Amino acid sequence: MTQIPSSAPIIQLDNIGYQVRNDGQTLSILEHCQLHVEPGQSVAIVGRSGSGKSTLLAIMAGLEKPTQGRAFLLGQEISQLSEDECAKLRAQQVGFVFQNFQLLPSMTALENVLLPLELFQIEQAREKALAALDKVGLHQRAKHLPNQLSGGEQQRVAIARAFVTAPKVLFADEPTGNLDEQTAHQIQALLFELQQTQKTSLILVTHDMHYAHACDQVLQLQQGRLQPLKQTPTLGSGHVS
Amino acid sequence: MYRKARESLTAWRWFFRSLKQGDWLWLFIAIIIASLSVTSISYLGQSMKQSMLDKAAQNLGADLILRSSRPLEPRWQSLAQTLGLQTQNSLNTVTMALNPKFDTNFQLVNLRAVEQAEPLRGQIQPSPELPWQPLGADQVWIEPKLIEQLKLEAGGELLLGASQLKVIGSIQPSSLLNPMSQFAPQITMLLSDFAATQLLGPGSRITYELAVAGDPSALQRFRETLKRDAPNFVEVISAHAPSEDLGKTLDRAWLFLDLAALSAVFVAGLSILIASRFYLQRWHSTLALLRAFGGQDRALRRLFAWQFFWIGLSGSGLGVVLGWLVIQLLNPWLEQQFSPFVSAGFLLPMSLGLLSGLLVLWSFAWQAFQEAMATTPLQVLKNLQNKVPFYHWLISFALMLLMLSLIVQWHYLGWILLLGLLLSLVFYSSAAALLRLLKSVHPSSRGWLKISIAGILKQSPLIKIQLISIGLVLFVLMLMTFVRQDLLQAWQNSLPSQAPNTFILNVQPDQQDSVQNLLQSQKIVTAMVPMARGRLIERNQQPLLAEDFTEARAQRLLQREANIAVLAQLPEHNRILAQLPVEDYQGLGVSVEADIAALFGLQLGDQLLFDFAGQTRQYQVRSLRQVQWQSFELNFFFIVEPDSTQSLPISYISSFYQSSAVQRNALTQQLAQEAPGVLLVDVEQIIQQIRQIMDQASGAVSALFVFTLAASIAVLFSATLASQESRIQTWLLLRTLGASSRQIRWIGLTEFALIGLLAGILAASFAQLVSILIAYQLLDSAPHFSPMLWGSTLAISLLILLSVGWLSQKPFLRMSANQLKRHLKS
Repeated sequence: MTQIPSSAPIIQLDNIGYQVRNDGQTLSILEHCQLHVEPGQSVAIVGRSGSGKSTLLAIMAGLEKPTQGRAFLLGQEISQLSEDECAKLRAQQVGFVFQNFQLLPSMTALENVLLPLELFQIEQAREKALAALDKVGLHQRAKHLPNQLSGGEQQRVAIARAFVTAPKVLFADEPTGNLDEQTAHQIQALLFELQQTQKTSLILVTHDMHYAHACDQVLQLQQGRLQPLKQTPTLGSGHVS
Repeated sequence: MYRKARESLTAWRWFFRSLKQGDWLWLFIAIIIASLSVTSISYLGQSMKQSMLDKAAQNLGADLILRSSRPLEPRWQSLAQTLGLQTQNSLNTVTMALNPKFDTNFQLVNLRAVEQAEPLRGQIQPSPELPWQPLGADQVWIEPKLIEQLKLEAGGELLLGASQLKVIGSIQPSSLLNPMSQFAPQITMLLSDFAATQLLGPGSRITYELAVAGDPSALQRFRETLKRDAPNFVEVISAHAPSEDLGKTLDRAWLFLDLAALSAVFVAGLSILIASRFYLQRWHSTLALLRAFGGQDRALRRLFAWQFFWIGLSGSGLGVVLGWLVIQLLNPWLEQQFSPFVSAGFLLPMSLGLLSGLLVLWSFAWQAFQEAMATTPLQVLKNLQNKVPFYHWLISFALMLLMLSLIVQWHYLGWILLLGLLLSLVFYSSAAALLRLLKSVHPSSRGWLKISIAGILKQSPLIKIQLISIGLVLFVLMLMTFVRQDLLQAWQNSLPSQAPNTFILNVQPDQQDSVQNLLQSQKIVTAMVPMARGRLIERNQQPLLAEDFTEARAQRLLQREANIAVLAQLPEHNRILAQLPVEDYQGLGVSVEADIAALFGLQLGDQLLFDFAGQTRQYQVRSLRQVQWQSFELNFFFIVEPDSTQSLPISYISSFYQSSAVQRNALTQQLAQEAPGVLLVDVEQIIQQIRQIMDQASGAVSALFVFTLAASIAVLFSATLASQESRIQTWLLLRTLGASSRQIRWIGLTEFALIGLLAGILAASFAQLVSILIAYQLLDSAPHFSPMLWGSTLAISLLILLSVGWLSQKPFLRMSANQLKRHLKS
């Protein structure tokens, strides 16, 4: 696990651009994006479908490299890192939650939460996984398979899996997109609660403006550019331009 | 080290969890079948080979015999003894035996003088006709038929040359050892008594033998030295191939056994190919997630390689254990079939089974493994195609090669690979063509047929793999069924139940009528075939000299006289392979047996000069014939056309079936009285032994067929399950739109029937093609179009696919839209 200096921002994007070539034409997905996320801060990114939100998320998480500008994750410039070095950087410091939960159907809730712990060979994995499930209120359903759980419960398992390694930053891609309104609210509350108790930075991609406005910063991705919709300096020192 | 051990433990946990949920089930079953097949087939094959060799060795009385018409150099015996082998000298000669009580009762006998009474392998088989005692000085054992022929009694005496010897028992002589040469009944005496008979002298025809037995590796070394250094006049007779034709028959049986093992493993491999893709694809999103979580490439590869190792090890382990159980179940049957039964030992078959299970997994799942490992973390957010570099195909191929080399003999490997590659390519293009055909039919189809075809076309890459695997499985099954039948039929034909078991030789022209009358009086109808003893001496005016040939067989044939038939018409039981056009005919013609023609490089139209007891005759090669020596019909290397102008020194030969041993003996007596000099050779015992070996081989072939069948069913299930998800998606949509269970059932079954039909067409066409090739090349039977093969392949294909479809889809057909949706999510 790579340690970062405590003063370094969790994420920093400097003039990020991302172009792809399609049928001989260059298509610009992102242009001149700037972002600075401090530890413990929550940032929401909103935008229409196809606006490049997922690409931006991928660049922030070190899953994709920008074609222009510099992107820093946990103090390291990702363009300078190999795939494996990027992976090393993410190890136990980054968590993910997705719209479609991405649970392994043949494994129980507990076994799904155990996956990252076992991958990194963390001691007392079982106890930690059970504790994570307890935090999301699913201790009793630890032995249930995903298809025996409701959508909300499945997402809670995914959240437990994301938080079980106590990451420094959590990327959530439309985490409530597949859920009904009431369940969505419960999941949102759970995410914020865990983010705050574990002092995790949260990068949230969502369509839900109400949910987005609960974050410290709200940014809109429009025509490849990041535009601030809300900035709450009191909650953190993140800024956007 | 500790970290690696923990990694392997984690992998074990992941594998076990998936297995518990049924994730790896079909992959696991396929590995079990592969390893079970190799373990049991390898054990069966080895044990049967060993038992047959042992039987052959017992018949020979040794593992190996050196035979020569000149005394054998002592260095061979010294060499064998230095290598730790047991040896025994003996000699054989044909002489007259006389019962001194009746001065007129002479009988031609084969006198065998042995260093020790007991053979090196097997035991003396005393026959009950006379009280039996161990052989001592001035004593002999005789073959039972001599008792009647020489009117001998227990304790009676025999005159052999200058010696008078006491008869102290009768024994059944060995029969697999060059059966036709032992036409005279055998008398056994000690070698130390032979000199006193004074039968050894100028002009006496003596065959010297050195019997050798012992450890197989020492024997192999001895055999190699013999091959390198032994002079050409020394003939080596091995228990491995007591006779050339029997050797060929057994070779075919071994090849079939190897092919059965290979088919079972290959078919299991196909199941692994499909199942591994199917299961690993389910891991793609989790792998992407683990990478996004920071899992490093090498660590993930190790974790999944460990999982594969555990799957392979536990599957193969279970397969080996089941194989061992199968062996235990089969052992009583084997002990009944083979007497004595020699168990090959479990260690080698089990190691082979374990190794094959692991190798079959890696060679067939390598691509899917690499594809899964090529998952990028970005796939948590985007749908991307995993790309596998081309060289991984080569690795997969190399692993397959390694696996094949464990199962089949090296010299077949190249052919099997070439055939496998060609078949795969042709199967792939044929499957693609059939799918294109289906696509062209789609616009004009209606109703549930249209939806079924759309269901197939929607996932054409997967259906292509399904078609290839199901087609290949059916192809292998049908081919094995028909080849097995052909093989058994060919064996049965080659040795029918009433194969000639009695030969009459040396009938002089003036004896022909009396012998014919004698046979007719016993209701035996048979033709007397005229033949002359002759030697091939020239080909196209060029002398054929023994020293110009390297093959011992060619040298022997040029040095000895052969039986040459004199016939205007070729026998019906010979197959003509090539014929000279009538317009090229010159002079008299000869038909040559194909193997001999190949040995001497003889071509159609060649002029051959033969020496018949001093008379030379020229003949033109008119045809080449294929002969089944083991059929016991009268067969000849050369059949010459009769010459109306000059007669050859002819005698007659005949063969027929005589069921009763008593009548055969009576006939021997009558022949001795009415046609002196005529020889009757009884080969019933040899036929019985050969028939027993063939029965054993065919039993084994049938038993092994079951393994391929089991493997095939596993493939069919895994192939159907692989496309289940997409099928259920369609059903969910149809259910939501209000389709009834009946309609959905029809659509589902039509999809299966279509796949069955297409796979059936693929399988039948290839099975037909290859069965024609095999019939022609391997089984010496005429190739024929088989409507039965077509009908049964299509029917079986449809039936299997519909049953598998019905069984695997039944639970889903009963589900509501909501239940289907829930299942899809899992």
